[in-house]
Amino acid sequence: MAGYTLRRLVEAIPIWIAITLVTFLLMNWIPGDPVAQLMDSRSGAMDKQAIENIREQWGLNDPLYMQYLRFLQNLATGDLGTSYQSRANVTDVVLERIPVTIQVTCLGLLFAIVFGVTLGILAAIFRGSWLDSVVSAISIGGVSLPSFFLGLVLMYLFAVRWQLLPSTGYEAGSLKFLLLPAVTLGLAVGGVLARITRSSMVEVLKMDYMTTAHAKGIRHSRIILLHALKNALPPILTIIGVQMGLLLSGAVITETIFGLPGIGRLLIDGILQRDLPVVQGCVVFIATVFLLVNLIADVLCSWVDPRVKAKS
Amino acid sequence: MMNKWSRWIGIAMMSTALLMSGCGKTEQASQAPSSSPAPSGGTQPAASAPGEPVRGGTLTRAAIYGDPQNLDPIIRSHSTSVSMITWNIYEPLLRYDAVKGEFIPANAEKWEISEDGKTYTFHLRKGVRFHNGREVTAGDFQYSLERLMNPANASPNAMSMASVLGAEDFIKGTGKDIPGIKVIDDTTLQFQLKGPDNTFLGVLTMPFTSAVPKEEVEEKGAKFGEEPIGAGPFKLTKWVRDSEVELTAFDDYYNGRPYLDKVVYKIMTDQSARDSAFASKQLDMMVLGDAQYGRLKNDPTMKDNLVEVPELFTRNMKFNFKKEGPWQDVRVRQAINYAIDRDTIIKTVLQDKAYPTVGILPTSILGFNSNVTSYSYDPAKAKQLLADAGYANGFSVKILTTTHPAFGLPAVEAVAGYLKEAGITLVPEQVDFATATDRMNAGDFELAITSNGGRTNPVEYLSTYFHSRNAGASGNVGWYKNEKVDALLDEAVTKTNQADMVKLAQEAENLVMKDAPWWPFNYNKAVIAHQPWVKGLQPVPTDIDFQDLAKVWIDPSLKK
Repeated sequence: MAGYTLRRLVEAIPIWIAITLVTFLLMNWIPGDPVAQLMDSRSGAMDKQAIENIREQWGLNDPLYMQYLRFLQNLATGDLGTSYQSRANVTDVVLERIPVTIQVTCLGLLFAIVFGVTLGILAAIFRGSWLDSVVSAISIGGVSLPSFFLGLVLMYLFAVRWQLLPSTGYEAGSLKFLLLPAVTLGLAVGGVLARITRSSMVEVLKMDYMTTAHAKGIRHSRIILLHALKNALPPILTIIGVQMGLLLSGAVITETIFGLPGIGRLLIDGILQRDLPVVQGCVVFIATVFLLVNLIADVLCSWVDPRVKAKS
Repeated sequence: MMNKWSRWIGIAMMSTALLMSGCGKTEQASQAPSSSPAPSGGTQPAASAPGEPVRGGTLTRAAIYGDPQNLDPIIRSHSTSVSMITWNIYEPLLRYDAVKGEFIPANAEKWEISEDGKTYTFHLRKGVRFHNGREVTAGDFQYSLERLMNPANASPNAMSMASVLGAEDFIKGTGKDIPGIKVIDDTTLQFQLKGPDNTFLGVLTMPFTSAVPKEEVEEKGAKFGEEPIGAGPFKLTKWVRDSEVELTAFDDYYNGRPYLDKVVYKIMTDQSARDSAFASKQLDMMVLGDAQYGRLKNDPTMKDNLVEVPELFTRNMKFNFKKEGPWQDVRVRQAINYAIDRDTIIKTVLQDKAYPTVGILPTSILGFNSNVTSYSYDPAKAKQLLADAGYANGFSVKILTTTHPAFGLPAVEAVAGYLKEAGITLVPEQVDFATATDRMNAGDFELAITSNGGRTNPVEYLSTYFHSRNAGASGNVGWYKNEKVDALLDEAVTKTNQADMVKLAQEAENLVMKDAPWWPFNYNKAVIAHQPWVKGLQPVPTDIDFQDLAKVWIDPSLKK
C-alpha cells in the first residue's frame, strides 16, 4: 500500500507542473497589469517612475520563461514566492488560510455524507413511495440551488430572522461561524450523494444475497446497514472523492459570502488583483488536496472491495 | 487507466474552472473600490446629537473593499481599504479636516512656509509617542520618508514626495541621499523644495508620510506590515486576514485617549451579507451601496441615521486623443456634452445616489466654481454642432466600461440612448475593472467611462487628469494636451496665497471645460448608515470611510 501511495504521489509531479504552467500562462494572458492593481483604484493614477521601480523589483521585466522557471525553482524548495499585493510570503499566507478551508469543507463533507447517505438509504428502502419523491425533490433542490442563493437564504433565516448564528465572520475554534457555510456547502454534495446512494442501494437490494439474508432471519436494520450499504459503498466513495472538487470550488463562493478567511477567498482576491504568486499558491494547494482525497478514496475502495485492487 | 486519466482531466478542469469563475467575478469585486466616490458640498450636518461624549464601547464597522493586506504605510497605495485603518494607527505631521477644508496640527504643532514657498519648517509636538512608548523625533520622520522613497522598497507612493529637493534622483536610485530633508534638532524638521508647491502640505497628511519607528521596522522586517507600530490614536491588536482588523485605543495618545475602547473592521465585501449584519445589529456602521440607499432613505427609522456627502470624485466619460476619430474635433466633443441629459440619468438610473456635475471640480472641494463653462442638455445645439463639424449623419464610437452601478454599463446604456438621438452610435465594450484600468493606462480605447479624483487640492486634482506631464498611466489617460492649461496649472502650484492658487485653477478648469476632453457625469453621493448609538460621524468628502475615529463615540443609553 505504501508503494502504491508513493507511486501515485510521484505521478502527480507532472500534474503540478502542468497546472502551474497553465495558471501562469492564463494569468499572464488575461488583461490587467498587476502593478496597475496597486494604484489608488479610485483616483486611477500612479506615477510612471513608481510603476517602473516596482516592475523591476518584482522581476516583471524578465522574459516569461525566466519568471516561470524562477517560480518552479522556488517551488522545489517549498517557497511559493511573495505576494504582489501584501508582500507577504505566499507559503505563510496559504498556510494561514488552510485551516479555515479544511474546517469548512470537512464539516460540509460530513454534513453531506450524513444527510445524503441517510436520505439515499431511506429513498431506496421506500422506493416508489411519497418519501422517495420527497427525497428526490430535496436532492434535486440541493444540487440545483446555487450556493450563493442558498447561503443568503440561510443567512436571512438563522442570522437575521431568528438571530441564532452570526451572519458572517470567523473566530478560530468557534463552531458557530462555520455551521451556515458548511451546510450551504454540503447541501449540493449531499444531494448528489443521496441520488447515488439511492441508485446504488436499489441495485444491491435487488441482489439474491439480500433475499438470502432475509431468509436467514437477520434483522432488517442489520441487513440494510451492514450487508447492503457495504456493497453499495464503492460508487459512493468514488463520488465523494470527485465531489471534493465541488466542495473546494464551492468554498470559493461560500467563503466570500460568509466572510471566511479561507483559500477560496484568497484565490478570488488574488485573481481580481492579478496577484500571480497568490493564485499559484492556491492552485498548488487545491490540486494537492484533490489528488490526496482521490488517493484516499481509491485506497478506501480497495479496502471495502478487494476486487478493485486486483483489477488495478 | 481510464480512471487515472479522468482524474488528471478532472484536476485540470477544476483548476481552470476555479480560475475562470474568478475572472467572471472580477468586475463586482474590483469595481467596488471605485464605487464610493462622491460629491456635494458637505452640507449635511454630522450625525452627532446632544449629550457629552463618553468613553467606552466598541465600534464595529464594515470594510467593504476587502482586506488591507499590508498595514505598513508605504507598501499599499492610498486607498479606502488601507487608509481607513492606517490613518488611525499612524500620526502624520498634520491632518486635513476635509469637512472644514483646513489643515490641522498633528505630530507637528506648528509650521512655517518661507516667502518663496520653497522652505517648509515643522515644529514637532513634544510628548508624541509611538505605541512602543518611545518619543517621536524629527529623525524618525527623516528615516520614514527616506524609507518611503528608497527604490528597494518600491513604494507606489514614493513619487508623491518628488517636489522635495533631490527626492527624484533618490527614488530613481541615482542619488545617495535627499538633501531636501533636514533634521535641525529633535523637534524641528525642514523641507527644501525644488520649487514652490502648494500641494506639498497635503502629501504630509498621508499615512505613508507618517513616522514609523526604525527599531521596530528593522527588527520585524517584512512582518512590520502585519504588526505595525505608529503614533496614532489606535494600535493594532488583532488581525484575522480577510475577516477582521481590531484596533484598541492608545492610552498615551498625545491628544488624550480616544473615546472608543476598540474599533473592529469587519471585512465584508458582500453587500447582502453587510445588510444582514447591519439589520441584526452586528454592524454599527457601514457605507451604503447604490441599491440600499433608495430603500433606507425612505425608511423613517433610518432617516436620522444616515450621513451623506458629495465625495471628491468626478465620474466622467473621456475621449482618447491618441486615437483618430471624430472626437478630435472640439465641436464633436461639445456636441456630445450637449446631447446627454445627465440629470435625468442620475434620477432614474442612479436613483439619486449621485450629484450632477457642474465642471470638473466637485462641489465639496476648495475652488469649486459654479460659474465654470458647462454644458446642459440641449439636443438641438448638439445636432447643430455635429452638422457644423461635418457629422450630420453621425458616426459610431466604442466606449470602454465596466458593470459599475454608477458609472458602468447601466449608465452607458442611458447615455447611448441620448447619443442615438444625436445620430451617434455608442458601442459598449464591457470588461472587468482590472482590464479597464489596463486598457486605459495603455491608451487602448476610444471613449471610456470611469471615476477619477480623491485629491483635496484643486490644482493637484486638475493636474493629475489634464496636465500633459501626466499623460498615460499617471492619470491623464486620454492624452489631453493644452499648453495654456499646463502653464496655468504650473503657475497655480507655485502660489503660496490660496486665493491666487484658486483663481488660476479655476481659469485652467474653464479652459478644460471649453476643450471638453471629458463629459463630466456625476459626483458620488457617499452615504453611511449607522445605528442610533453611534455619535460623532462626519460627512468626510475625501472618502466617507475616512472617519476621524478619535472623535467618534458610542452613547450607551441608546444601545439596548
